[in-house]
Amino acid sequence: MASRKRPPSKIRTISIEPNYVNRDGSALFKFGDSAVVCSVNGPTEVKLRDEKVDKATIDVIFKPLVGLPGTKDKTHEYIIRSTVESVIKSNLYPRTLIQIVCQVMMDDGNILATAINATTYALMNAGVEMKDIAVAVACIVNKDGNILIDPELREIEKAQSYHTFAFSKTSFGLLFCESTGLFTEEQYFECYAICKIAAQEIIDKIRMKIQLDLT
Amino acid sequence: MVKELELSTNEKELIISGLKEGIRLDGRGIDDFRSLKITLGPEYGRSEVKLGDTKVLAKVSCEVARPYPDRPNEGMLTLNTELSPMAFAGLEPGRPSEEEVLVSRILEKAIKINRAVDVEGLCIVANELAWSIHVDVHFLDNDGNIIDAACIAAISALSHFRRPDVTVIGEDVTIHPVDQRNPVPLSIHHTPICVTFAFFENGDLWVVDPSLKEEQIRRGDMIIAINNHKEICVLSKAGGLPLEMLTIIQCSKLAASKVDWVREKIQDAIANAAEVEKRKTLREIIIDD
Amino acid sequence: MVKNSLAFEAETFRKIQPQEYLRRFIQGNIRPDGRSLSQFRPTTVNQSCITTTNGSSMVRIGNTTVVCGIKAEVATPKFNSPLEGYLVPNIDLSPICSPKFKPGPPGELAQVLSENLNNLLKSASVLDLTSLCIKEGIAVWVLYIDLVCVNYDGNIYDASVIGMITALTNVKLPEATFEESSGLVKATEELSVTLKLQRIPYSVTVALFDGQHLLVDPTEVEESITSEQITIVFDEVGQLCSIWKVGGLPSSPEHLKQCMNIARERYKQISMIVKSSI
Repeated sequence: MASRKRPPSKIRTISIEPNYVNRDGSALFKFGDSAVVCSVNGPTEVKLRDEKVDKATIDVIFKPLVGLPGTKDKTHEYIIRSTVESVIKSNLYPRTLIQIVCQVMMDDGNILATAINATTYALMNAGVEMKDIAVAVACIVNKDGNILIDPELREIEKAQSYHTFAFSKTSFGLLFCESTGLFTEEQYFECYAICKIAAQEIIDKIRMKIQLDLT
Repeated sequence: MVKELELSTNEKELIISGLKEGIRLDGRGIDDFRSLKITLGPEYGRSEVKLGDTKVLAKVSCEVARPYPDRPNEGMLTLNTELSPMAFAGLEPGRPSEEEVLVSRILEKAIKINRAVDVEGLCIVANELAWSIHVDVHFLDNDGNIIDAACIAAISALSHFRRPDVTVIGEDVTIHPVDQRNPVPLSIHHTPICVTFAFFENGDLWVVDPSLKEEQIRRGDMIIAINNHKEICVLSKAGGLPLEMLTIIQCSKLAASKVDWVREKIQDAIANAAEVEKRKTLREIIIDD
Repeated sequence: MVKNSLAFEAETFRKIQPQEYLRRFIQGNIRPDGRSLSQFRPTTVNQSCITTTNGSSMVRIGNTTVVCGIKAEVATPKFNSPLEGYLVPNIDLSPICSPKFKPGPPGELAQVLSENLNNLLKSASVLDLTSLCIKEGIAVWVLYIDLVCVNYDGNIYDASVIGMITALTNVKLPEATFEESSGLVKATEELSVTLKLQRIPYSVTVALFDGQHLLVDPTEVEESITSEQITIVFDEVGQLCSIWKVGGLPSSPEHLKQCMNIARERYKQISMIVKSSI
């Protein structure tokens, strides 16, 4: 079994392609071989039954690469929606719909974090006003107790525990966290610290990309 | 519910007057396809097709399952062509729209019912085990003619796909993992490719590979699927403008030449993917040493 | 007598400004239902209450009531794992428990809860699935874990986890043998086989209000006002099985540490309640 070719605290090469599809905003975000395309449509017309008088209705659809969407994808939709709802200034767009569609293009682990980052970039690309930026990254604790950040699919299958974190850019507070498996408090806070550092790297990458596109 | 805005009268008249002179909005001739780019890989069975601005992704996956009781010697092939609001704004997920049903029916007719893939070769142990192949087609961007793009994506993905190797010794079935034994390609009888025509006015004006705007003002359409043995697999003319027999025969002749062009592109893409794969394995061998 | 038009009745105030209403209570270190911020609602557990199932339980946390029933069936195992059985948890949130749920296919909340329960069973390896094997590659037990919420007043996940785990502990299966000659699985009339759980996880949910106040075991009203929820699952040896935090305002590691301490204390409470219910 080939061992990991990069150091445990190094994330894979990030690649961002804005305007991947023709929508109000879209972006392709890649962590190495994991890619998710996110498209944002909005603010746009909303159905009467979903209309909210004082803020925008945010609708997220998550489509997996293989098979029909199931409960796992519904959970991803719930997570992305609640993370993004808190950063979008939805009270600026009352009675409208912001429709977010995430399509998995390639799956090599860490797919939820890839989707959250793609959504963040697509929202910026669409010009939706946000008060903060959400960046996400995942890590695993493997059977030897080592922490590996940005895990690949084969590393996740053999992991002792799997942690996904989403941080906010301004305060670096924790916006979202999902940890499953068997782990101790110490391991958890170690993962938290390592992922926080990686999140800073991702923010820098995003900022560079935006600067590149604007000049 | 977001509806696509209808074209204004000005735009309609501009397109029609252009067609009368044999020019289209993007400068093509009436019998020209848009630029076609097919990217295969990095995994086996993954194909991304860009036909102009229309983007489609197809992924083939396989699993072992029990064959259907009425077909004990055959494997299964399922196509999933769910439309998403990414390409079609205002789509309600869960309820299949008219367009979705149309796309799904044409692809099923062309690929599944026509037996493009050899399903008998997918059987491992009669009545007990067989391969079930799933093709998931995802629509990323719609600028017209999603059916042709989806067909190209599905066929190229199926041609590129490799399934794990199986050995059957008596009652014992071993499925070799991909890193132990090279996976095997599917056995494909023939490769049908769809070509869509759109008709305007009273049938005198027609185009091949319509863009989104042309689709919105067309009066009738026809889809012809031709395979590598120059046989017509599907001819779908569902309603719309009545056509003369001569037009249909002319269109099928044109479709045959277009299909050859598309097939060449698919072969190039497969050759490219094989090159990349070879270079990658060489690199891995060098690094591991 | 002139009524002071600026003084609202408490009910009206609660309807118009629910957040401010809650804030006033929190400032006095108390919650609208009289509890302190770190107080759990009275919890009761009933075991083996449904005799037609293989295992069952009923859990009440305050007004939230969840009934869990487990039914066993025989099925063919997956080709890749011929020795493993299946556990299929599913929670049903229907209009019977709260008017906010509509009839029809499972809504988002039900799907998310079912997924989380499934994840917990898998990642915490609660049950060794090979113990459900009857004959390798041919027949295994599949346990359908059906949870029905009868009354929804917040904190449904905690109640569901307690319900699911206690129902699993009192599951009784018949002895099953595979007969080669007939190709059938024969089972005894008597239900004597019990399951041996590898781990007993219990969860604790805390809501975060205004980015600083931790409201333990939130009611439905508190859940709808606060967008933040932190759920922590511990097992019997103090290992963490799951941490889940969604939505709302960013929180700090201090909040998580506090929640973990609360969760550890509560684990002992739940264990005692479950033990006394047998």
